[in-house]
Amino acid sequence: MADLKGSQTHENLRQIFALEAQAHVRALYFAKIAEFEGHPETARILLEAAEALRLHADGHLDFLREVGDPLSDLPLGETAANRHAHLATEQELVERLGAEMARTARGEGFPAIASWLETLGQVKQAHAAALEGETG
Amino acid sequence: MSYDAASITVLPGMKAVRAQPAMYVGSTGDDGLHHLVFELVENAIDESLAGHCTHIAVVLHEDGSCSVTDNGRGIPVDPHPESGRPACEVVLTTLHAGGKFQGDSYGLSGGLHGVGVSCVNALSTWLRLEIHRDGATWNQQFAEGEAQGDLQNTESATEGTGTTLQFLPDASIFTEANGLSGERIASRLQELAFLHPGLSLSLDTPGTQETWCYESGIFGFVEHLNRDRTPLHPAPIHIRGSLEGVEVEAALQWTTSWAEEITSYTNSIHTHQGGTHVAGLHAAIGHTANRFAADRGLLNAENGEHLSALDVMEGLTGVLSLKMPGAQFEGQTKAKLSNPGAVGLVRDVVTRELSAFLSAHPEVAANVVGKAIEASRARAAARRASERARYQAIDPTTSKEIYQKQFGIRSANWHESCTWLTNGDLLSAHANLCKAGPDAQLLDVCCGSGVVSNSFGDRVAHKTGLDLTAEMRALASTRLDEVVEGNVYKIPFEDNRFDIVVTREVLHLLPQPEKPLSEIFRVLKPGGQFIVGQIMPYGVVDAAWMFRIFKKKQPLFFNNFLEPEFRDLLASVGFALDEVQELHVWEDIDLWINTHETTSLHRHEIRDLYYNAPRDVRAIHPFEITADGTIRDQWRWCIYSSFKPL
Repeated sequence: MADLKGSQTHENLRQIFALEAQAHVRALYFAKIAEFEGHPETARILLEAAEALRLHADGHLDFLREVGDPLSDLPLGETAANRHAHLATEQELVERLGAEMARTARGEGFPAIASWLETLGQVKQAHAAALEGETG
Repeated sequence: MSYDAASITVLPGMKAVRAQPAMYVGSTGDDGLHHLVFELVENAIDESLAGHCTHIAVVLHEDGSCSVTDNGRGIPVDPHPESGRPACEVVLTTLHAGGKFQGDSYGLSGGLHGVGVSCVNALSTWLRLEIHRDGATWNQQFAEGEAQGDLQNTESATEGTGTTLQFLPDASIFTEANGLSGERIASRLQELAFLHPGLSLSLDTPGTQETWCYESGIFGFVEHLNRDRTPLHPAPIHIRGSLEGVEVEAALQWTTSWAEEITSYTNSIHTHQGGTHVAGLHAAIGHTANRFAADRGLLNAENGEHLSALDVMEGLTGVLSLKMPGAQFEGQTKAKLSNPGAVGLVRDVVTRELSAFLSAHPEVAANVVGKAIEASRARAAARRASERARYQAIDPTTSKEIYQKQFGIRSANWHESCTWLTNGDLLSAHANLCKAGPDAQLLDVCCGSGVVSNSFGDRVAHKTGLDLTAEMRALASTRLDEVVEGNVYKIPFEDNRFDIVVTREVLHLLPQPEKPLSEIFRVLKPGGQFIVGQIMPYGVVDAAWMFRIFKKKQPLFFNNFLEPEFRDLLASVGFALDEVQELHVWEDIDLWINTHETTSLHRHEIRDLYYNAPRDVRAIHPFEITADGTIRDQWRWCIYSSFKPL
């Protein structure tokens, strides 16, 4: 059997995983707005779509996890490895959000967005510390 | 329509009720406990809907028990055909037994409140049943849902008919409840009296007696809800119509308030979370208002200006009542109507009736639509301003216009716009930090109504206020010695002028807060004191959650401070920290977001952020959501005292 790692299919799966995971969150977000704006039927359809998107994203991950984390490229498998990959991504985000991205936002004149990114950097650091403390 | 033992259907099994009470009444706290009372009242209401009951009496007894009496037909006492037991005993001891499953004893049933009277019985330490029917009185006792002996005919002659159920809620079940609340029951009974014109409901508690009976229906209900508000038009708009066997009734009145308050019912069940009928109302109002505005040329057609339904719903107090066979609800406590057909039915009836009313009363329509357009334009301006507020490019004239719009509109009822503004403990906490001498000169930056420095009393000799908007300066001038127009990015005073500067909950609204802080530092004498109060997250975990809430409340929100970072900010402009006081103050969130600067969608989203707050946020940030969905948040106020070094 062909090696998935590094193939065009691997890259395609990574892309479609990212897209469908984003679309899942977005569908949930849109469903809330539909509910608040008084379109319960649309809200229901969006929630169903979100469930389907979640299933698809999980399915992509079923294949992807065999060859490594689609975000960090670290190996996945049992909880210890998964937690490690999760933390690595969070840590990268902490660094990028708090320093790099917030600074750029401030420089470009988006003070509220800068404040938001700085806040998230702090929150993520706290979450990462909690997970790290869990089993060390 | 006959109502006797043969019309009672038995569905099997109620053993699980005591084992899993929350599944049947929602919770083992106060909500579940009150559900017991309301279940019995709803059943009596069904008797009234069927045309057999005119009075319902609820009594809260000294011993913690409650009785509900109606003058309906009395629960049937003849033997039930399947079990041979008296029908009333079957009703009280069998889950899902009642007259409402067959559909011919009751036309429009509001009851079947998810649970049935048997659940009330199962969750009571004891329950006493008394039935007056066919000229006789019948009694039976129950304990924990089980009959204690047979139904007794006491043979005493009786004239009227009716049912009394007295029960003591089982304290070993409702372990999280604080007890039956007269206030809560009264509010529900009053609501039911409005919904059922002519029906009389009463509540007796040790020491109080009250009876509610209204002929005015939901029209009077809206007048009652708006009793403390300023209406935009003199009387509620009353809409009545029916379509495909569904009766739609609504009463609508707009006020100068910003929040919408739609109270909705289906077959007298309070649908707390709205549902498809409320969606239909939204659609009808949005459609009708846009058509009116377009017909009159009130909207700027060139740039495609359009009112959303949410814009028009602002400030609307409405009661919507649907009488609908086959109503379906989501959730055991029926919080939400789910029949998809209700959207179109309500939309069509309300559009038809509301259009007719507005055509006949163009002055009401112009008021309501005019207010929605004004609010929608003010928000668009604020949004543009927050997008424009670029780094090092704060244009004082632009921000003046914007802050004028933001705070000018609110000045009319400034002190009612949230509770923290006039909270005495919070004001004292600021004043008590004052270390200046009695001859000190004080500057109150962004002074608002001047309450903060006013609370300093005789601690200082002279109080100067600084504010951008004329409305606020007018408010403050009643409290301070002098109020000056000015911008915090360029405070209109010379260096080293004041002994003490105070400000409160302002810096989060200002891009580049270090700039106004430097200005404050500049106008302070060396050795002068700076007192500043800010709402802070409890930790980092609730900070992102609070960010979203505050940003949605108000588009001119630029800085989400964290407590340690705020100290760093003060230090970065040269202040030496003296001390920090922390005070936790409850804020009424529904009041706080009742403002034109919060869009209706944002209000929904803010409530949702509380309803679905992440677990780690709940763990550190105290807030409360009551049964009817209102929210209180305990804000963490940090009040910093610092000095400009000598």
